[in-house]
Amino acid sequence: MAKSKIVLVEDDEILSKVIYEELKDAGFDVMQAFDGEEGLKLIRSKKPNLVLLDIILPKKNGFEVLEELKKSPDTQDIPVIVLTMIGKDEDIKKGLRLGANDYIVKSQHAIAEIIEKIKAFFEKEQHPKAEQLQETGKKRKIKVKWEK
Amino acid sequence: MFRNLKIKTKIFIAFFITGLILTSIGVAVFYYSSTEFIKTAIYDSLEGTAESSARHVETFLEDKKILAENLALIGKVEKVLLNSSDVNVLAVEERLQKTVDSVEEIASIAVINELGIIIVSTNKNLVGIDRSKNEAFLYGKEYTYIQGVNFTLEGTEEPIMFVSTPVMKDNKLLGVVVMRLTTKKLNAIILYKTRASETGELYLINEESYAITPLLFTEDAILKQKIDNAGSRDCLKDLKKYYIEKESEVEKHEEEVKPYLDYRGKKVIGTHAYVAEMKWCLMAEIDEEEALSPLRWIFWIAIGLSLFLFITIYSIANWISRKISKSIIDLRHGAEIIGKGDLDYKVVIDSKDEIGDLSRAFNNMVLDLKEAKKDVDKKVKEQTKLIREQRDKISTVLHSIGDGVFVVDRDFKITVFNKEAVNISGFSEKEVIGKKYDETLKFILEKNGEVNSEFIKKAMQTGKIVEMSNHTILITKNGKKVAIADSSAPIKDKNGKIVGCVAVFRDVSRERRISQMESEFVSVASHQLRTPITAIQWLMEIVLRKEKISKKGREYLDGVHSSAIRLNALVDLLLNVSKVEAGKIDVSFAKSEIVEIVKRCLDESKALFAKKEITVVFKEYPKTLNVVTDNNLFRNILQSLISNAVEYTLKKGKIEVSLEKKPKSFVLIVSDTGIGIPKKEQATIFDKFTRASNAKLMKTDGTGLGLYFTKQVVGLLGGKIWLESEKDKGTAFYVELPLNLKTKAKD
Repeated sequence: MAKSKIVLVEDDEILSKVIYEELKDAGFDVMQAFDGEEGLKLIRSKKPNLVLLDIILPKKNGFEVLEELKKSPDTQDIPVIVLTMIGKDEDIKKGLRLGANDYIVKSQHAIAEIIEKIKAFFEKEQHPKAEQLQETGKKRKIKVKWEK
Repeated sequence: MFRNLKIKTKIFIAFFITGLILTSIGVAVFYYSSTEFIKTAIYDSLEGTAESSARHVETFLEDKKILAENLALIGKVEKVLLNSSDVNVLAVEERLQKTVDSVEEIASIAVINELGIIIVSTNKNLVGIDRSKNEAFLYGKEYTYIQGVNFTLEGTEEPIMFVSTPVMKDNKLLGVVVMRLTTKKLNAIILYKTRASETGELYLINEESYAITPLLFTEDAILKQKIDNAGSRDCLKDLKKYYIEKESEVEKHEEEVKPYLDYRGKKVIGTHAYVAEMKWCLMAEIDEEEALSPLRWIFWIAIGLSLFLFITIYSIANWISRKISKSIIDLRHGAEIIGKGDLDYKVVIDSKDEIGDLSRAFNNMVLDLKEAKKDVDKKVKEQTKLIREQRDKISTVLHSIGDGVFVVDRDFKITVFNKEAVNISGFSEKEVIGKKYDETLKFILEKNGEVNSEFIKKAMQTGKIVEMSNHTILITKNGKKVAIADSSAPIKDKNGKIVGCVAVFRDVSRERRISQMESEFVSVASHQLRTPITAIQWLMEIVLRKEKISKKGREYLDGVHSSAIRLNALVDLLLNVSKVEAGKIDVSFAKSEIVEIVKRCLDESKALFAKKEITVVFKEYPKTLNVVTDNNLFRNILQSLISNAVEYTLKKGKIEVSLEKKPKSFVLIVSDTGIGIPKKEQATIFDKFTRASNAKLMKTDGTGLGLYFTKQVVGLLGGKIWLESEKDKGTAFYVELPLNLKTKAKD
């Protein structure tokens, strides 16, 4: 199995470093972007399996990035998890509305928890894939939005 | 109604009616007394006539008696009765005939001997007839007797009378002389008419009540017509008294003149006299109609008199009333002119009477008024000046006020509009004054754009000052939206009745901007704060996990880590407080299973409990508790209470969590065996920045914001929070929330 590719769009250097290191330790392939534009470029070119998207970003903020991602057909299927500093905000609602799959409130979780969450996300994603392999020809309706 | 008539009319009516009444009374009295007078006069006249006639009759009868007695004394008559040869029957007859011839009413004379046989008679046929059974003979033997009117002995229809007298010689009865009389002379005496009357008549009635003299209105009435009326009855009654009761004189009692019905059935005024010896009544009657005929023209005199008096009284009344009221009218006219404003007019009434006095007093009063008016005018001028000055002062003040002020009257029309109101709204005074305020000033609610004029209407209706929270927007003349804060107060008059409303509004855009900047600042600052704090937390986490550190080093780094965590929690709290105060916390509704949430929460805090070796029990709870509320906010409340419970309970303490389901709500109970809250401080424990005194001893730092924020959130979820606590024993917090926040919100 190929390493899952993650694009991390986070403007704070230290936080980005911590997440990057821990994800790498967890066995993911991680690419960093430090502003919205860089992030878009990176995602478009690398087509990752997951995008971790901060909201407050220079140049283009997280919502704008999200919107653009969901607009173009070649990026709209890439799952996005929104990273926010503050929990239960209009931000989160907005993010989910714009098409994000999930959200993580950075300030409320230990880094280990966050890594676990991302790992669990990939497992969830793989599960429906396995089931699909088993049942050829049968189209199953699954809750998960994406289907490969 | 009498009150409303003019004086002239009143006087006139008073006079007139008085006059009328007096006249009527006068005329009535006059008429009545005339009637009585006439009646009495007639009656007296009748009486006189009757009396004199009666005497006349008596005299006539007496004469006849004497005549008879004289005859009885004639020598020849004696001799013939003695059968003396001296005398010749013929000679006696001749002698008797002489008397018959000389006295008209004597029809015949006869001499009857003591045996009752007629021996001499002027009517030769009668000689020898036996009259011994005759009343005239029988009574004639005793005394001079008159036999009343009867029909002739022969039965012919001629009324006759007899006068008989005894012939005596030496006290020995020789015979009786009988004269037969016709009633012609009697009738003649009676048929004397009372003066010039037409219906007046006299007639005699005998004791059987039959007429014995002719009647005016009935032919052939003699001895055939029975007269039975009030008058005749009276008379006969009196006669009877005389004869039966032998009263010395027949009293004539004074009666009022009462008309009665005569033999014709007509009303007559009548009286009577007596021919007592014959037991006859002499009736004198006259028709009432004729008797009272003078009354007729008296009546007309009365009418004429009344009319004359009527006219006189009318004229006098009219004149007097006019005279009197004229003065009053002049006075009133004067009053009108003066009333219209001409204070120089003088009412001129010369008379010395009360009205003249009144008019003079009136003129004086007008002069006084003139003086007084001058004073008043002066004062009014002064006062007006004062009022104007005051008004200007108020106006100046009003226009200098830094807030927009406008006043509406009861009809919501603007009466005052100050300078600041003009500035804010963009409308000039002229454009709004006199019009209803909502024609020009559009106040709308910020959130939905609906027109909001509650603040004015409420003040007007309830009479209380109303302040609206600053979510109102005023649309200016140009269509610009200006955020304003407004309040209005009712204006009451001295009776407490609401006569208008004064509204004050202020442009709060700047304040809003400031508050917005504040929240932005808090939001940005807390975000900025969080980043480094999160960084510290994570780095500490990694270092502690992955790096080899000395025991001491680990201790210190642990301290750093926990400080960072605390710092994080503090920033969260600060941000939440600022959000809740700004009303920026949105409450969402979702179906939540509370028991599940509680369990998970307790699970997540296991580490926390372990640190202080505190036992946590989820004690009593229903199998499931499905509610509609905001999960996150609920979780927030739960976590806050739990962290407090852990914080303020000593090592090895106990915490109990329970859930109670109620019909419309549920209750969350978090109780601990901690330090408790002193009774005095229990009421204020939810206040901002308030910490219990003993809490400060336990944990020196603490913001006093936790419970404050929790209470606000409980409020947002439509619930209640309260506590029970005893110092050093423990505390139990109760939170009651509605089962369905959505429906409660709809309420």
